[in-house]
Amino acid sequence: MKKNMFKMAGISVLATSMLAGCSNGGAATGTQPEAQKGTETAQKVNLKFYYPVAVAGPLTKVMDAYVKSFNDSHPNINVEAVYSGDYNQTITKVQAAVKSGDMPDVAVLSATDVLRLQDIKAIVPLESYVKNDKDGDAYINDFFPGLLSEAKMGQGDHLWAIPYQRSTPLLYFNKEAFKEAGLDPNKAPANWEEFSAYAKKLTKKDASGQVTQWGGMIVENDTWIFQALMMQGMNGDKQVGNQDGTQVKYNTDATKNAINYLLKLAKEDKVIPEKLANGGTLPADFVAGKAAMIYNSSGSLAFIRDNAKFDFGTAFLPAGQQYAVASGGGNLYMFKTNDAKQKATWEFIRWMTSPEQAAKWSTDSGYVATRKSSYNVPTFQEYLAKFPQAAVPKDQLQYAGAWLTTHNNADVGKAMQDSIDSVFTAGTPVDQSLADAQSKIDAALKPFKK
Amino acid sequence: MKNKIIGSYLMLIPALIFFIAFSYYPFIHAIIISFYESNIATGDHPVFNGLGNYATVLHEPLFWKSFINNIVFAAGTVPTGVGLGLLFAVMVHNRVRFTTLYRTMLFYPHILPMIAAANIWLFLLNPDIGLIRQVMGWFHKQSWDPLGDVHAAMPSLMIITLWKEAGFFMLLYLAGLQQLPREIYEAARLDGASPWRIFWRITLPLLGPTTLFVSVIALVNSLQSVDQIYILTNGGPNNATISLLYYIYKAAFQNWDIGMASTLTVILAVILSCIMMLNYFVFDKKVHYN
Repeated sequence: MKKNMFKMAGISVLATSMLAGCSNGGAATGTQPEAQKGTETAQKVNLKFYYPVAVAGPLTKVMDAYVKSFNDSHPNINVEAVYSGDYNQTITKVQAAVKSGDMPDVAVLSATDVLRLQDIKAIVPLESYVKNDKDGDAYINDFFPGLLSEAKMGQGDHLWAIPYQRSTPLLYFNKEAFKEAGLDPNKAPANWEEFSAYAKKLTKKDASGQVTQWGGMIVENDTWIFQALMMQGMNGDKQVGNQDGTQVKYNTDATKNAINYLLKLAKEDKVIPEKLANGGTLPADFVAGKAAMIYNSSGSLAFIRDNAKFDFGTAFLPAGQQYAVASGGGNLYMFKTNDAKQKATWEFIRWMTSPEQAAKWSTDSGYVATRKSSYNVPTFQEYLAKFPQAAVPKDQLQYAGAWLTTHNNADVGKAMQDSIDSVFTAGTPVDQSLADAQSKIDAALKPFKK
Repeated sequence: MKNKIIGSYLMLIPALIFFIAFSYYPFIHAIIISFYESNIATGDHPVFNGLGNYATVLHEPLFWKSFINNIVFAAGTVPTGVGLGLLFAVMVHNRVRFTTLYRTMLFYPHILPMIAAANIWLFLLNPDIGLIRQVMGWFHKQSWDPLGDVHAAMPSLMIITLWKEAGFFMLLYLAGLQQLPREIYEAARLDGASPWRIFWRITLPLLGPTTLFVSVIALVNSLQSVDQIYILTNGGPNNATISLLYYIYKAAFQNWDIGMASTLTVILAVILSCIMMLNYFVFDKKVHYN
């Protein structure tokens, strides 16, 4: 019975992939008749481009439009854009593809995947392409320097990625809720104490004691947001890991402070939900008025801008000892394929990160425009003047530290996440959960210490 | 004679090729890799590790957590699933009005692929817009997120699995019921046996082979459950719903730890073969076949 079903499944998969193959072929010839007429049809390079969508909003349509516009202007290259889930699903797919030898040519993956991609020998360093590019140096120096830090990690002096969809976490706040609660709608909470005090005023309950509006929502077990809290609790220093990606200082006072801050908000003040929040729904919760303030990626800015029916503001994440965030998001990676494909990939990467394109992507999504010269693009200047909330993520970059990037980052991230989960859902004592996590992290990184 | 033997082997070849390519070869390969350290750190050059992987696995709390989860899941779904299947079968066995409709309704969840069924439940259980939430709203209850609750997540998965599987077990029991000899029932009725007594003394014992078959399928399914976990909980919250198979998936495809994943696979295969052996050599002998 089971066996038969497997066979049937196999046949249907085969059939659908054949169908998909046919329809793809049809679409490609349909949209680009001019390429067919060209004499260089035989040399046309086909690239497969994997990209994740990790924030709210219909970004697949936006991305498809970009790729179409690239294909239309580059008759010798045909990029096929493949939406591949969230960051985690994308790296999982890429790993499987690398193992089976059918890898993408270019992909947007988390900036922190850089060491893992080196370890599985999937990506190529880009410095030679920069060197051969006629204004390569100017191009690289035009990126905000902090955004290149993960791309330079690993052995040797290489550049492994180009910053693409980079973000910082922001505090989004509902100005109307602020007014209702008697708070100044133009002044966001600047530090942890203020956040707690504001959130108390903003939490509303109905007659039966049920919360109808939370003061705040924070995804407690999102290691990116959590790392910001850890760094905010430090003094001056913002180092969580080392440059080689072989060490993480997790069982520290900074981590304890961060977790205790969240515990206080959830269990003592009762101004954020006690249950761990689900990252994907936070922007929707904010738009629906269920939370007056949220910690969320700047990548959600466009979704909130387009869907919020109230006036809202964005601000730096409230400071602990200091302002701090980790600049997150994804970089473009070039995969090891062949010379012609890699050259075409470089062309695609250059196009995707042109100042105009970076400005456009920032407008369409909310990600930080990665290049300094983007801010000279007139349409982008107009946009920022009209919508000053969008300038906050870039301004916050001055306080950004490196995003924790290690070898074996799936295990390391899981250990961190589990420690937060167990404190919140199983009531494990903080000290014990952090010690457990530290020993798991050390074990995961041991093979990489030289 | 000789021709006949060659002929039968020729007939076997297509199936055999599939078996070797997709079952035997990968499994033998997995056994070999399970003795090697093969992960991101070792890359293309796995290091022989003897029984090291097995020792690591047995000292890994998450392995035991997923092992225990599997047992809990089996205990929660196998007896109830078999019982529900039997109950449904007996209920719709006799031809009354709308029997076919009832049968179809009970059976239809099984037709859906697990992935699709799990996605439907994901919507039903959504703490903001889900049906369950809306029903609870009528009673002014607080929003409830069973899949995000350490204590409720596993029972939720069990209920969803039962909803999905009970119809299939019903079908197997229906087939069993159709084959029972009518004479025995007539004789029993003439002797004045109550329907209750007939069920316990005749139907149930005669259905022994079906019950055994259904139980084994239910048990194996429960050990192989992964799709619903992938869609609904990702093994969370706090690893409350991680199963052995999901643990293997994470080790292999997310963490790229092929050695460890192979070790886990071998352990799971050993558990499954033990169940099969128990089935063939112990239970099979105790069941009454006509």
